[in-house]
Amino acid sequence: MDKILLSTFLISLLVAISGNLAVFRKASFLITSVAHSALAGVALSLLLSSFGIQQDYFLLATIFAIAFAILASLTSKFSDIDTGIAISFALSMSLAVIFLSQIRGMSAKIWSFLFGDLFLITEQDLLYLTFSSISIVLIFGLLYEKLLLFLFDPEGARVSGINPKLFDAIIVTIIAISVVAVIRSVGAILAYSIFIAPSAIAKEFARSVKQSLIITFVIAMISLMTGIFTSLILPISASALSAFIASTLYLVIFYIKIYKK
Amino acid sequence: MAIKAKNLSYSYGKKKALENLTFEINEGELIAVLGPNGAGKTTLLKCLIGSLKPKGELSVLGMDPRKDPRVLEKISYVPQRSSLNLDLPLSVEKVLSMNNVELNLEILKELELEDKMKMLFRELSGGSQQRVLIARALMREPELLLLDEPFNGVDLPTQEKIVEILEKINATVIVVLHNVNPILHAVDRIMLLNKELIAFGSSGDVFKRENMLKLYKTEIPLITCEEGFVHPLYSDHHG
Repeated sequence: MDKILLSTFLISLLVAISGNLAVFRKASFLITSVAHSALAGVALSLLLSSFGIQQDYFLLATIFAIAFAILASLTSKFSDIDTGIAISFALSMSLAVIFLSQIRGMSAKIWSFLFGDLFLITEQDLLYLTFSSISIVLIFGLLYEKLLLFLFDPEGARVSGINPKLFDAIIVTIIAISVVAVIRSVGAILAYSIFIAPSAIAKEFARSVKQSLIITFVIAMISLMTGIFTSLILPISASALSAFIASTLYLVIFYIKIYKK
Repeated sequence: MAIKAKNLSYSYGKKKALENLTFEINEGELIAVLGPNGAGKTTLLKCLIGSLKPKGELSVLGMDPRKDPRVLEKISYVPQRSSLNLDLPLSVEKVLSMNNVELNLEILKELELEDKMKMLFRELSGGSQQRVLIARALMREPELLLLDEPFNGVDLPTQEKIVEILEKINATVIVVLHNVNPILHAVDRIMLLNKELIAFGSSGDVFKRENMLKLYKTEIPLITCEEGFVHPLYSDHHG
């Protein structure tokens, strides 16, 4: 249980940073795209292992996720990243399907990456998650002011010595690494709601970026913990429950706000 | 000399945005750059800060912004408000102090922002947002100040306040505009730009029927005010 609690804490930390970056970057769909790019990397590692070439999923998933995230960033303007995301999503997903179609008898493994399982996190997965979290917290902390300036004023940031293309690449790389780090626990398909719903809720209330990070962290923690404890009672996937809770919470808050207006 | 450009050209792919611009701007001058949509006004500003790499010769404060990023330390750029990302919940204080900029109380007082510091930037009116952006630019103590459409969506009193400040500051100032009238009495020279340089000089020199026809491809009435300045009379689609 300690392992699960530590994982939950680290996942919430990554959700707070990358979920907010994705929402502020107006690129929330990037989470889905990156998750499926990572899936292509996982599929390739499974394909290679079926040929006897043992290759850990994390390295290839990270390479694919970062490469396709940067592709999306480079092929679009700051204000219109949707097309770039769609192209990189289509490209990586088609690669994933091609790799998967060549693999026989590994459906259970693929399933675990698609939907994730918080109870099946291995020591190795936890190590990846810890390493990714520490790296991202450090990078985010060091570049915090410059990232805010770039996100707020992408055109004027250059005058403050910020290279816009480099900073956009840093943002999408942080998002890519975060998604890969949680793919085993929450899955490629559910990553979107786990990352975006808490940040979207925070956006409705936060009066500062720091508040937004804290609110996102707390909501992610609550959603994940509720999912985990409910799954101990009911035979339902913890990650699916967590994603369901986070998304429902967002919808409830959204409609309450509309109703109050 | 603050800026010197010779045969400056820039294209977005095959689409020409600037064609063979040759001009000089002296230190301390207040310049208005005027032209219709798509005339290359913002492109010119982006060339001056090195965001875009034009062809031709370019010297900004004695340096080439394409090769020497140190020039950026001496420049402040006020972007169009529409290019800002208002999804971020940033207070006015945060917008002003981002990236370790030291708050200058005198500037805050001058722009009447002292009581707005704790408010969220995105919740301010257009005029107040513009004042914050100008305060942010001034706090960097620039030698060259570039402003892109600072009067868009800004009420008349704020327009007058902005003009008053731009007249006073000790820097070379370039203001990109659709409508020059709010600042016409304060500027030293006006550049008429529609991809190519149509005219560059005082209001009396540049606001001539043939220049306006070249600039807007339509007739724009011109009148001379009591103080001797020639003003274009825009209809709404030019303002």
